[in-house]
Formats: sequence, structure tokens, C-alpha cells
Amino acid sequence: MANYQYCVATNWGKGFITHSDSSKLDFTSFPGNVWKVNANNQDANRWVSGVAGVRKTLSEAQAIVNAEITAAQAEWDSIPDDDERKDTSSALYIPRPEDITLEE
Amino acid sequence: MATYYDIFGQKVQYLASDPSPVTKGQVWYNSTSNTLKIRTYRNAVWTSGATTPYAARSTRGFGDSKNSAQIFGGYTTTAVSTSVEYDGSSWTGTPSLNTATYASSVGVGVKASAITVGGSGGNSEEWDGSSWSNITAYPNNPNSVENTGGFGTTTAGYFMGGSSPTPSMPTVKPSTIKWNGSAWSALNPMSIGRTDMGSCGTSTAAIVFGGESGFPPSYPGVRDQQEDWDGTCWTASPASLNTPRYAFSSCQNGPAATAWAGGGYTPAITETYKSTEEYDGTTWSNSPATVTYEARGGQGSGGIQGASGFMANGTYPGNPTFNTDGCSEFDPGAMETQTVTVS
Repeated sequence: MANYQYCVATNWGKGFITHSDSSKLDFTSFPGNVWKVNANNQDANRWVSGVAGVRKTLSEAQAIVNAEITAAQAEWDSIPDDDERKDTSSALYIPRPEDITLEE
Repeated sequence: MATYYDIFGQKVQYLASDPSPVTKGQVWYNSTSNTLKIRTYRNAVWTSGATTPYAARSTRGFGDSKNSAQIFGGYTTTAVSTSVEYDGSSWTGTPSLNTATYASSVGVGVKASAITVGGSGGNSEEWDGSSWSNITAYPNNPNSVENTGGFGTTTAGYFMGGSSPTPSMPTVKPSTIKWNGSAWSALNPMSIGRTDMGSCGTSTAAIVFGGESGFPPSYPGVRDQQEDWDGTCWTASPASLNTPRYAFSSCQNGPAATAWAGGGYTPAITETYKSTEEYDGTTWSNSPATVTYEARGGQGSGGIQGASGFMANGTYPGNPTFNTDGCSEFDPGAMETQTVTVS
């Protein structure tokens, strides 16, 4: 049985995850507005509905994240090698976005 | 069904008023308020805050709590001088920095009075609650020390470490420099040169933790070590972070008996960047709280130990500019007395 469920929801800021939500549930966000919350949990189900989340299967969520990461990696790869964003001694340095594997 | 007596071998205390002191797990019945009470630990939580008015990374911040905070500067597609404050509900623009900057020091002080030094702009400025003004330049200029740690006040502000952006000679510094409100003076340095670390405390009891001391190409020196400040010297602490990390959010003010560190970059750059650790004065423990938005470092953050805090902005791999306007509010774990209700 899956430990987590996934949905796509836009974080509007204040009130998106409340103190009560955070006390009861485990939240993790991923690129593409993908959110991972507990599965088989009424509070989690209510949260997904309350934020107008669109439920995704694990493979659907993984595809969304993959697309976002691939785009971000392409963006990073297109940065010239002598750009500060690729200079590890620069405060502007950004590591290349890494692949993310969602868990069931 | 087992009773309380069956399980614990004693009856629930029947008291006219709440006992003091109370210990974790203690249960009693208050006969005056007719309530059953328990002393328990409330876990730390991150909750969503209002999105900021500008997406940027290498922003810096300071604040009294999640309801009284400020961020400034940062990198959008260039350095910016933006300064905005947060009341727990919304962000409002304030007068800008005099010099656009990113990767400056943390804001040292409280919401009504703080200073920041260095960064790409190389300027040192003081916030008086209503506007920014220049102060005597930080003595490490013209190196424009970046990502310096700090703690204290505008009349006793301590700044530690940081890095020089000079490409030909990148340097991570161990220095400690004090601002007394009118002049700078050098104090005993840290044992470990580090940048992008956490730091908090008072002039006689402070800590630095985490940060990085590495050089290209792989940042080998991501730190978990903590050092303790006694007013004169830094000494290696037996405490250390569970996960080495740098460019994370943390509290900056108040006694060093408690602290928190959330997010940031870790050596493996895994999901641990969303994790949080809490310090109880002796040990760092992994917190169940998880940062509520996708950011990996370069956040503005602040707060007072034992009280609430915040983090805002930072890098976001899902955005072409690698910047985010996200915000999270933090409530640290704490002991509290709860009233038992039956529903």
C-alpha cells in the first residue's frame, strides 16, 4: 500500500498549509507544483480537496517533475561555462538541478 | 478497558490549581476549571506564508518573529535594493537599500534596528525601523565579503566568516569583526573559516553552525560543526548538525540555548534541503517540520530562538530564473500544557 499520494496544487501563500495541516501531515513540494502528502489519511484527503489539488498517480506526478527538471537542466546547461552561475566560488553559483525520484 | 491507574500505577492528581513546575508527561485534573490537563511537547511546524513581492535568491533578512520580519536585497537578474517587511499576513514595501546587493551578511539586530554588511554591493547599512542609512564600511572591504554570518545588535553586532568573490583567489574567512555602533574592531577568529553558516546568540553566549569551507569544483567542505562563543573566544562544540548544510535559514537573535536551521544545500543536494533541525542547548535533533515551499538556499530568514521565525525567497530549480517568491513561517517545538477534551 502506498505511503504517499500526489497532487498538483498552486501554493497561494498564507493559508495554503496551515498550522493545523502541518501538525497533522507531512508535506513535500516538488517542481511543477507537485505536492506529496500522506496516503490513506482523511486529513490529507481534506487538504487536497481544500487547496483544489488535482490528484495524480505516482507515474503522472513523476512525469510532471521530470519535465520540470529536464527543462531546468536544459536552462542550466545553456548557461555559458564562464557565467558566474556556474562558478562555484561565486555567490551566484547554482548547482545543476538534479533528477528527483518520487517515492510510493 | 485499562484505566490510568492500571497503566501508570497511580491516580491522576486532583489539584485546585495548575502545578509548578511541571514535567513532560505529567497529567493532572484542575478542580477549579474542571479540566484534565497534560504537559506535552508540541512539535515544530513550518506553515505557508504570503508570497513575497519579488522572486530572488541570495536575499537576506531579519526579524522578531514570523509576524514581524523583513527581507532585503537579492539577485533577480541583477542585484536589487528592494526591502520589504512582513506582518504575518502580507508583505509591504519599505524604503530601499542605498546600494543594490546580494549575498550580503544576515541582518543583525531586531525588526526595529538592524545592520547588514558586505555582499556584492560592498556597502554597510543600518535599518532604523523606517529607512536604511550607510554606516562605516565593513573593514574587510574591498574584498566585499559575501554571505557573512552574524548575531547581536546594532550597538554590539558580531560578524563572522564569509567569502571573497575574487575569482583568482577565493577565500573563506574565519574572522570575527565587532561593530559597537560607531566603529569596527577585530576579535578572535573562529577555528573554521566558513561562509553561508548559521549564527545566533548574544555578545557573551553565541553559536555558529554549518556553512561551507570548500573550493571549486565540488564544495568538499560543507560543515556540520558548531563553535561556541563565550564573549572572548570561539571553541569547538561537542554539538554538530545531523546534516552538513549551508545557505540555510535560521534564527539570529536571543540566547543560544535554542536554535533552528532549515533548508539549505547539503553535500548530496538531496531532499534533506527541506529538513529542519532544532538545538536545545546541547544537541541538534532532526525536527519533524518540513519547509513548505520549494527553495534550496539563498533565503532571507530570521527570528528569535524559542520564538517563531521565517524564511523567504531562495533558489527554485523549477523556475527559469532559478528564483522563488515563496515564504514559510516557523514555529519551533516547545513544551506546552494541553487541556484534554473529549469529542
